[in-house]
Amino acid sequence: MEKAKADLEKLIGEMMSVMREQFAKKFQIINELFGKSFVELFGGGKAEVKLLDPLDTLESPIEIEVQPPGKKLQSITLLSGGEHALTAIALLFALLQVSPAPFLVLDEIEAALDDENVYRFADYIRNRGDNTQFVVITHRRGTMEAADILYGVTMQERGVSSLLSMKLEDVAIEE
Amino acid sequence: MYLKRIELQGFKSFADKTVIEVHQGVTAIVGPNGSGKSNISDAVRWVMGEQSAKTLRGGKMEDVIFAGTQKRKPLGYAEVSLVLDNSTHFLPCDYEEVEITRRVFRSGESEYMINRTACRLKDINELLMDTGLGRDGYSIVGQGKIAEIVSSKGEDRRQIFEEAAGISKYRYRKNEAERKLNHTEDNLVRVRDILGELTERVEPLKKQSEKAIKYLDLREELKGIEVSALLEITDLKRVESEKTTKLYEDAVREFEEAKEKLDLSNEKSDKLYSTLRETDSEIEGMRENLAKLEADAAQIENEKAIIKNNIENHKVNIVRIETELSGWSKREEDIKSQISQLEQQKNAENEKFLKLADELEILEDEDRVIGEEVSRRVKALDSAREEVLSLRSKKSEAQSRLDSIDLITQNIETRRFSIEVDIAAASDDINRLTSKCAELKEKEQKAQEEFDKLSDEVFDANKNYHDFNRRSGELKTRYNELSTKLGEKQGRRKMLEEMERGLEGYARSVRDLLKAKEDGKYHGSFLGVLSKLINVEKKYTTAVETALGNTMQNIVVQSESDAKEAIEFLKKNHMGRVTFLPISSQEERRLDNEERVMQNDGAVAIACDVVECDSSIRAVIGALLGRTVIMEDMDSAVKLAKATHYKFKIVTLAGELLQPGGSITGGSVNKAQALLGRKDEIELLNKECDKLADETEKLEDEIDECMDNAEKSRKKESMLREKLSESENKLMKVKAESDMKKSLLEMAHERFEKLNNEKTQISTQQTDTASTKTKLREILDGSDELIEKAEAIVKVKQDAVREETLKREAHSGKVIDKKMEINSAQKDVEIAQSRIEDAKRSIINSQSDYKAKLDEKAHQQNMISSFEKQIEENEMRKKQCDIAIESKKEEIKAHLSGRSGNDSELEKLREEIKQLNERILALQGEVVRIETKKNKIEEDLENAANRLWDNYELTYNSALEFKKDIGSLSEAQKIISQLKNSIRALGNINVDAIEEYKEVKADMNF
Repeated sequence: MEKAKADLEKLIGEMMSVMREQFAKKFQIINELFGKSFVELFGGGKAEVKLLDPLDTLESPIEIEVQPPGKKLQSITLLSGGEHALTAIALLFALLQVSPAPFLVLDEIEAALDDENVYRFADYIRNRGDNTQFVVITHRRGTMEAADILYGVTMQERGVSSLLSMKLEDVAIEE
Repeated sequence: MYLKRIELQGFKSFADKTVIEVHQGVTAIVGPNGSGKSNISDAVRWVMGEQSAKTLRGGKMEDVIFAGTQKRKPLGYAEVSLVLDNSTHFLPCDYEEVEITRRVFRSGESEYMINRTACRLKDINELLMDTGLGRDGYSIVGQGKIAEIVSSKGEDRRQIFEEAAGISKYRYRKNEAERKLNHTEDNLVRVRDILGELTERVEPLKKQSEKAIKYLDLREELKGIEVSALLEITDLKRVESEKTTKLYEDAVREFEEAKEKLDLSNEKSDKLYSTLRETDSEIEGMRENLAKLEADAAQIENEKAIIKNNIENHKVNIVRIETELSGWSKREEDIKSQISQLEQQKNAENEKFLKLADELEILEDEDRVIGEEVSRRVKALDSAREEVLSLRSKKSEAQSRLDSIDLITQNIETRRFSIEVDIAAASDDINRLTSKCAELKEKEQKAQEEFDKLSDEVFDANKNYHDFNRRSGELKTRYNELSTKLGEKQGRRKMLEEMERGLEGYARSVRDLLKAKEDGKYHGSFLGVLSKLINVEKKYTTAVETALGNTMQNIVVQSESDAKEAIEFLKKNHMGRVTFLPISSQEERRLDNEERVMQNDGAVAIACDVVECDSSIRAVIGALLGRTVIMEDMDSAVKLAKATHYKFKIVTLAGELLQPGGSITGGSVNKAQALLGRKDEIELLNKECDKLADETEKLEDEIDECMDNAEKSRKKESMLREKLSESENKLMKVKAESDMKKSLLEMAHERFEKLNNEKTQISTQQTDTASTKTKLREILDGSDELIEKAEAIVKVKQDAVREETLKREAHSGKVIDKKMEINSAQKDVEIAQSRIEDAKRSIINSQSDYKAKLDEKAHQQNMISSFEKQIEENEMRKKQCDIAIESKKEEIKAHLSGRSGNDSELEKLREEIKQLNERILALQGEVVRIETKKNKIEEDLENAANRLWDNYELTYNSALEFKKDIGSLSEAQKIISQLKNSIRALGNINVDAIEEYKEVKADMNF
C-alpha cells in the first residue's frame, strides 16, 4: 500500500513536470503568436502575456500587457471597449493557432469593432476556415461576406424562431 | 473532426425541430434583434454541459424549454444534439459519427446521451477534453463575453490558457490521481491502527495461552483418574444393584401372597355378613305380620261393641212408634162428623144462587134488544154525515183547481209574449253574425297569403346570406394562400435586391470603386460593371455567365485614359485591383467560319448574339463573346471542339466551358454567385410579385363584395323576419276573432231553435187548460144543491138516536143491581165447599202417616236381626287371628337362635382380616425401602455415566480404554479433588487463546 502511494505520488510528480514543461513551452508560443496577432489587428503596437510568478508555472496568475500603437504600455483594464474586444480576439486567435479547436461558435464578438477591423476579422476566419469551422452570429456585413453559408433567423410567428437557409459560397476573388 | 449539424427542438424560441447544417468554412447566422440567434450559441454551450442557467440567460434550467406563446402551447422538454464527424478519430471514440445530445424535462431532469445512449455528464466532459471544445474552453464565445477573456481575473484566465496548452487533460488526471492518493493514505492509516492493536493484544494472549496449556495437561490427568474412578464406581454399583433387585423381587412376592390371603378372608366375611342381613330382614317381616294380626283382632272387638249399641237404639225406636200409633183412630172420627155438617150448609146456599141467575138472564136479553136498536140508528146518522163531508171536499177541490188553472194561464200568457220578443232578437243576431263571419274569413285568407309570401322571402334571404358567407370564406383561404406566397416571393426578392444593391458577389475592389463613384469620391468616368450593362435571355444566362467568368466584374470605360485614371485612384486609396474594358480599344471579333460552325448539331448561337446591350458597348461584347459558341449540351460541344481543333471557346447551356486549347471547366453552378441570374431572378420575382399582388387585390375586392352582399342579405333577412312576425301576429288575431264569431253564431242558432220549441209547447198547454176549466165550473155549480139535501137527512137521524139512547140507560141500571146479588150468593157457596175439602184432606194425611210408622217399625226389627248375625261372624274371625299370632311368635323365636350362631363366626373372621392388614403394611414399607435403595444405585450409575459423557464425552465402553489402576477409591477421590482445586486456581481459561496467540504471532512476524 505504501508502494501504491509512492507510485501515485510519483505519477503526480511526473504529470506535474510534464504539465509544467508543456505549459511553459505552449505559453511561450502563445505569447509570441499573441504579440503577432495583436500587431496585425491593431496595425502596430505590442502585447504580451506574462506569468506573474515564473517559478510556479502551474498556479501562477497570468497578466496581459498591451501597448496599442501610439500609446504607452498599460494594463488591459485601461483599454477602451473596442480595444478590449480586439485584444481578446487577438488572444483567441493566438490560442486557436496553438491548439486548433475543431469548431468555434462566436456570438457577435466583432460587434464592437470598426469596419476595418471587421474585415480583418472576416479575412482571418475565412483563412482559418480550412482547419476550423466557424459558426458566427453576426450583424456585420463584413463577417457575412466571409461566410460560406448564411442562415437567417426570423421570428415570423411571434415568439417562435425559424431558420432560413441562404447558401452564399464565397469564392476566392480574383483581383 | 468537424461539426456536421446542430439540431434543436423545443429549445428556447426554437419550438419546432430545427436543423442547422454546418459545412467546412464559415457559417454565418444573421437576423434581426431578438429573433433568437444567440439561442443557437446557447444551445451549443448547453449541450456541452453548461450547468449555469444564468449563463444561458435563464432563471432555472427548465427555462430553456419553449415556454409557449399566445398561439402555441408550451412544450414538455428541450433537446439539442451536436453531430460531429469523427472519421479522423480525433475524439477518443470508435464511432465515425458522434452525436452528443442533452435533454431536459419540465420536471428538471436532465439527460445526456452519446449516440443516443444515455451517459453521464462526466463522459461528455472526458470525450471533449483537450479538443478545445468543452464548456471551459474558448470554443464558444457568448454575446458580450469576448471582453471577459482578457478582463477576467488572472487565475480565471489560466483556464483557457491551459486548455490551449493541452494540459487540462493532465490536470484532470492529476486531480484523479490526487484523489486516489488521498484514498490510499486513508487505507494506510487504517492498517497502522490495526498493527498497533495487534501488539497490544499479544502479551495477554501469551499468558492466556500458557495458562490454557497447563489447564489442558491437568485436565488430561484428571480425566485418567476420574474416568477410572467412575468406572470403578460403576462396577461396584452394578453389583449392588443386582443384589437389591433380588431383594426387591422377594419382598414384592411376599407382599402379593399376603394380599391374596386378605382378599380371600374379605370375601368370606362379606358373604357371612350378607347372610346375617338376610335373616334380620326375615325376622323383621315376621314381626310386622304379627303386629298386623294383633291390630285386626282389636278392631273386630271394637266392631262388636258398636253393633251391640245399635241394637239397643233400634229397640227404643220401636217402643216410641207403638205409642204414637194408638192416638190415631180417635182423631179420625171427629173430622168425619164435621164434614157432614158443612155439606148441609152448602146445599142451602146453592139453591138461592140458582134462582138469582134465572132472573138476571131475562134482564140481559131485554137490554141486548135495546142496544141493537141504538147502534143501528147511530150507523145511519154517521153515513149521512159522511155524505155531506165528501160533497163539501169535492167542491173545495174543484174550486182550488180552478184557481190554480187561472194562475197558470196567466203565466203562460206572459211567457209566450217574452219568447216572441226573444225569437225576434235571436233572428237579428244570426243575420248580423253570418255576415260578419264571411267578412272575417276573407280577411284571414288575405293574411295567410301575406304570411306565406314573407316566409318564402326570409328563406331566400337566409340562403343568400349563407351562400355569400361560404363564398367569402373560400376566397379568404385562397387570399391567405396567395399572400403567404407573395410574402415569400417578396422576401426572396428583397434579399436578392439587397444583395444586388450591396453589390454582393463582386470583388471588394470593384465594389469599393463603384461605391466611391457613387459617393462622389471618385470623379473619373466609367460606364459601369459589365454584368450590369447587359441583359441575357434566361435560357442563356448560365452559358453567358460561364463564358464571361470573372470578366463580368470588369468595369467598362470609354477609353484607356479613363482606365488609367481609375487605376491611379485605386492605387492611391489601396483599394485593390480592378480590370477595365475600354470601349475604344475593344473591337468585335467573330469566327471566320461562323456559318459552318452553326450548322453543327447542337449549335445554339454565337454568344454575343444572345446578349442585349446598349449599342455603345456592343463592340466590347463582340470582343468578349464573338468567338464563343453556345452549344446544346456537353456531347455536341466536345464534338464541335474536336472538329474545330479547339480553336475557340465553347459553352453549353448548362454552363460547361471548353477553352481553346482543350481545357474543360464544369460542375455545379453557384447560383448566388450568378450575377446575371440574380438580376434575372429579381425581374422574374418582380413579375411574379406583381401578378400575385394583382391577384390578391382582385381577391380582396371580391371578398369585400361578398361580405357586402352577405351583410345586405343579413339585413334584408332581419327586416323580413320582423315583417313576418308582424304578419303572423295579424293572422293570429284575425283567426281568433273569426273563431269567436263563429261560436257566437252557433250559440244564436241554438237559442232560436229552443225558443221556437217552447212556443209550440205553450200553445198546446193553453188549449188543455181551457177545457179543464169549463169542466170544473160545471162540477162546482151542481155540488151546492146536493149538500143542502144531505144536511136535512142528518138532522132527522140525530133526533132518533137521542131518544133510543135515553131508553137504554134506564134498563142498564136494573141489570147491574141483579148482577151484584148473584155475586154475593156465589161467594157463600164457594166458602162452604173449601171448608169441606180441608177436612177431607186432613183425614187422608193422617192415614198415610200411620202406614209410614208401621213400615219403620218392621225395618227396625230387620236391622236388629242382621246385627246379631254380624256379631257371630266377628267372634269367629277373632278366634282365627289369635291362632295365627301364636304360630308367628314361635317362628320368630327359631330365627333369632340361628342368627346368634352366625354372629360369632363373623367376629372371628374380622380378627383374622385385621392381622392380615397389619402384615401387608409392614411388607409394603419393606418394598418401598428396597425400591428407593435400588433407585439411588441406578441414579448413581447414571450420574457416573453422565459425568463420563459430560466431562469427557465417553461412554462406558469407550472409557475402558482409559482405565488404569488407581488403588483405592477414596485415595483416587482425594487426588481428583486436588486436581480440581488446581484447575480452579487457574481462573478463567481461554482455550482459543492458544490458536489466537499463534495467529497473532504469525501476523506480527509477517
